[in-house]
Amino acid sequence: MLDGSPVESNAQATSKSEPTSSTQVGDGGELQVGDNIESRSSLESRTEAENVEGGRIGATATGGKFIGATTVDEGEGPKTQEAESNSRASAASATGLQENEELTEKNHDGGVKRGGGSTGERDDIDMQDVETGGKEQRVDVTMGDVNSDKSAIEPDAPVNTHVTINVTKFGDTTSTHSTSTATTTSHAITASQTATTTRAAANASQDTTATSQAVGHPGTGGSAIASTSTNGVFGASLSALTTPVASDVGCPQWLQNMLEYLRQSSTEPSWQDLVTELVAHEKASRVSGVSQPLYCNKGLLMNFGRKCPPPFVLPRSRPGSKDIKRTFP
Amino acid sequence: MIVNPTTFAPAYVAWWRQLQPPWRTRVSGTLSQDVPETEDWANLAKGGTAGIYTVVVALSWWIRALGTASDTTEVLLMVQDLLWVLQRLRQPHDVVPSLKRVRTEESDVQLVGRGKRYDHQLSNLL
Repeated sequence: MLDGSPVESNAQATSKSEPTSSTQVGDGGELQVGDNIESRSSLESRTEAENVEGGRIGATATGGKFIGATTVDEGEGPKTQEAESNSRASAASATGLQENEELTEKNHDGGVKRGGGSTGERDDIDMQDVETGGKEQRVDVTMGDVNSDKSAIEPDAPVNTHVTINVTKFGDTTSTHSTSTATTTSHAITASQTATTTRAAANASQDTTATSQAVGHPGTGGSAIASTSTNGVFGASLSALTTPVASDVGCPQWLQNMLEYLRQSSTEPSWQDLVTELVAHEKASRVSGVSQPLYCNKGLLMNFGRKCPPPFVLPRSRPGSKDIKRTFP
Repeated sequence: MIVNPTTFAPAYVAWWRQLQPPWRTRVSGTLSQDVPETEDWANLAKGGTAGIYTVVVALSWWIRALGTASDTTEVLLMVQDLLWVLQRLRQPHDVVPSLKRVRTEESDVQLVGRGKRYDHQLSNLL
C-alpha cells in the first residue's frame, strides 16, 4: 500500500473483572480451559489468543492484516469483580468505519490494556508479562507460540496476568488504512463481567466482555478502523475518513459502490484527492453517459466542426442540365 | 485478483503513457505538464466504467499489492500524475474563438457570408 506510515491500533481494553467461576482469572492463579483471549479478524486476518490454561497462555495468529494490540493485566483482587469494558470507537472513513477503538478491561488492581501498532504483512502477536500475584512470572508468547509453559504460573497463587498482544502491520508505520478487522475477545475475564461497549460510529454490537474491533477492511463495511497515528509520508490520518466526504454524495451508483474500496486503498492525501477528483469527474460526466467525452457540449462540438474541413457539397445544378453529367461521369 | 507489483507496475506505467496525448511524452521519458492551449483532453476525458475510472481502479490494485518494504515512490508519482490529469480534465477548456467573431474583424465580405452559412449548418446538425 501507499502507506508506509506508522499505524497504531489503539484498541485498548480496560476491564475490571472479578473472577467468579472456573473461567475466572486471578482467583487462584489458574486460568481455566476455555478462558480465551481471542483476537480475530473477520476477513483476512484472524488472531486468536486463547487457551489460557493454568498459566498456559496460547496465542495464535493466522495470517492477516489487522492492527491491534492487547494487554491483559489481571491482578489479584477480591472475589467479586466487575467487568467493565469500554470500547471506544471513533467513526472512521466515509463508509462509516470506525477507528480508535479502545477497550479497557481492568481488574481490581490491574487492567487490560489494549493498544498498539501494526506492522508487517502478517500479524505479530506478543503475549507477555504473565504475572502471578506476589510472584511475578512472565511468559512471553510470540506469534505462533500457542503454548506457554503451564508451570510458569503457580496454580495456587493469585494471578496477575499481563498479556500483551501486539498485532502490527506495515512494519514501520503508524497509519492504517487497514484492511482487516481485528476482534479481540477476552473470555478469560468473562463470567460475571459486564461489558460496556461504547461505539461512536458503528452499529456493531459487542456482547462479549472485552471485545475490541480494530481496523476495518474493504469489504467489511462498517467495521472499525483503529488508527491513531498521523505521521509519516503516508501517514494521513484515517480520521479523515471518519466522516463521509461531502463530494462523494451524488456520484453515480456504480461508483458509489466502489468508493469505499477506493478510499481505503490508501490514506495518502494525494490518493484521497485523486478519488475526490474522480468523483467530481464522474459527476460531471453523468449526463454524457458511459464512454463519452466528459465535456461534450455544444461549444466543444462547434470547435470540432470548425477544425474540420468544410463538408463536401454537391454543386447545384438544374435538373436536366449537362452539369450533372460532368459531376457524375 | 492477485497483482504482482514487479510486473504490474511497468505494465501500468506503459499503459498510462500510451493513453497520454503525444505532447506529454518527452525524450527523457518523463511526462510533460506543459499543456498546449488547444488541448481538449478528448482521449482521457471519458466518463463511466470504461473511462478514466479504470485507470484509477488499476492504480488502486497496484497500491494494494505493495508490501511492507516496497518502494512507494513510483506509485506515488503515478498517483500525483493521475491526479494532475484529472484536475486538468475538470478545467474548462479554451474555446476556439468563433469564426464569426474573427470575421467581423476582417473586411472580407464573402468570407463572412460563407462563415454564417457554415455556422448555420453546424447549428442544424446540433
